[in-house]
Amino acid sequence: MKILLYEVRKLFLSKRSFIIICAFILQIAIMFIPHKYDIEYSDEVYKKYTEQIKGEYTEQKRDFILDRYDEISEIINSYDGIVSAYKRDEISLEEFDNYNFTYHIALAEESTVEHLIEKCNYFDELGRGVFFYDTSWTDFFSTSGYNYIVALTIILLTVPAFTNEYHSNAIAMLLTTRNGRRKVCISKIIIVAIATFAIAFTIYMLKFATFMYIRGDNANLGVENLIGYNYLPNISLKQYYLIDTVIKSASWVVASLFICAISVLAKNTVFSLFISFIFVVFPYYIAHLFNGGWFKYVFTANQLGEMYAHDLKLTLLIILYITKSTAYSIFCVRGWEHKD
Amino acid sequence: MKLKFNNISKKYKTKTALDNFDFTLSVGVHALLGPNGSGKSTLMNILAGILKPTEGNITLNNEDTIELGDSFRDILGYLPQYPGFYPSFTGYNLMKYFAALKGIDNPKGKINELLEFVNLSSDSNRKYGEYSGGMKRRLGIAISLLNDPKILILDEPTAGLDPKERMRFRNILGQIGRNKIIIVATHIVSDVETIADNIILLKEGKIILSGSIPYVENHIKGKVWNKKTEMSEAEQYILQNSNANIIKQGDSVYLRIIGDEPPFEDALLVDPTLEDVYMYCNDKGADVGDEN
Repeated sequence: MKILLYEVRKLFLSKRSFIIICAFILQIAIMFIPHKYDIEYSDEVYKKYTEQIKGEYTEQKRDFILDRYDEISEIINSYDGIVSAYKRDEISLEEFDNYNFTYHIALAEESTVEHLIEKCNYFDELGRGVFFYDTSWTDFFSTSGYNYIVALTIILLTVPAFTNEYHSNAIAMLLTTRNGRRKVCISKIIIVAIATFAIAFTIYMLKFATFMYIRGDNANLGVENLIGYNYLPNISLKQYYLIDTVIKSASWVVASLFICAISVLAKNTVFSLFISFIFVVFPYYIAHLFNGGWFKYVFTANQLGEMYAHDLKLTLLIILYITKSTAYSIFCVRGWEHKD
Repeated sequence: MKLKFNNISKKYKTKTALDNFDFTLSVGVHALLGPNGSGKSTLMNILAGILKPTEGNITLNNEDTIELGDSFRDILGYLPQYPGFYPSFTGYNLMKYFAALKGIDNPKGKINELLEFVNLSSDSNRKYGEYSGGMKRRLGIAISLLNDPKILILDEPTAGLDPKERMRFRNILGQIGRNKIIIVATHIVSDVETIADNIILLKEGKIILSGSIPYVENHIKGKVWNKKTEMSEAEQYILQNSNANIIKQGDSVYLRIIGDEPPFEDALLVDPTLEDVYMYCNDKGADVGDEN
């Protein structure tokens, strides 16, 4: 236990605590940077309609949307006729201006109302649904994939946990003591794993808390209300994010143990940082080339790059994580005990 | 207590760091002398169990030290050439940490005693990063003595220290109990000439001479010459010959030359010192000599 506490102290030496604090602040600050939603409809119009129809999905609300869509279609389709009528002086300038006004509104609302119809169809398929302004949530989830702040913090924290002992040559004295071999190494692995989980979890939750503070409402509503999330019944938006955060934090633990193994093998900080980056960040991009599939189980980084999805086989993932963690830890202990 | 090195070799890809090192150590202070790269640190690391030998093994009272494992480490104290610790830890906390690593219960009394011994009591609450080189070495030796080791390995313990700290370190070494096997690896002859019971001279991974100080000095008896000269002449000679030293005594200048033949007609034979032996062996490479 004493050795475990000393390893905590070594891991959180003043400079490294500073890195963690900076990461926390950076994550909060980034959330305040104005962000343009990557959506195909007008968010302003969508917000207006969802305010109007918020609450349980009903037939009336569906009819209201369909009626509005018919109205919009009619306005848009009558454009050529109205222009001709105006040219033939069949309608006054004032009437033409009024039409023009409604025509542009209809054009602006068309894609949004189409999206609402898509949502109605989704709710029909689901058998239930709740209307609410959810753009901020879909956007939040779409930008909650790979977190570079967590990646950098974990890499910068984990690599020196082992390589500093080689750089300072403390390893020489550690290895000549009864508990400086296996116990120190296992303590390091345990502390790195716990710290990684805690730091990753905290950063993800800080992101969530800042999101909730700025633009997050309706966190208790079901995630199934978002198009494409119908595989998670009876799970609220905040529960979904929490589940995803736990999976990602566990994935970071596996990644950090891999970094530990690399550090023990390389015994050099710069080289370990480089290799860690290559193997923890780069595969995320490779995974895109293979369009997910089996490849996402090969490199842990891929679980870090996407939100929890229905096709993720959790049992397989848990078995893989346990196997990988054990293999990395054994490699670490064996490498630690031999300096050459 | 017999510590036996059985034909220890350590080979890297293109280099042989140790070549069939075969030797037995008993209680006393053993100085492992040799220039940088002669294999001293490799040997110390192998003895400490940090490096694996390519060939051979080490036995303590006929038991393999690797098989002894923790029970060997429990009687081992090791101060490496460049001991590095954690700059934010205080001296006292480092002692406590290593006491935990060595499995020592209630180490407070022992820590205070050792800090007193190495004259660091008043600085024990200062951070290690603020210590001078000499203080770091003294703390290092205190840490290596925490478990009251029966075998103490000191690898270049005075490297980089100023003369005052070196003297202080020698005094500490002189005070360590004599019921241990103490191995001091160094290339600074003056560090060990007053405290070593036995000298082992290493060159290119091989023992070239070993024995007590009188024995190894006797090995080059008749090969050390002294000549009174002028400074300019001495400097000229030194430039052309690596086997000589300039010694100034008051206004007089002497050339101390090591060689099989008298370098000058008026050169006088003098008694060799350990430093002469070291220079002679490293310059020419002596035949293997073993007092035992």
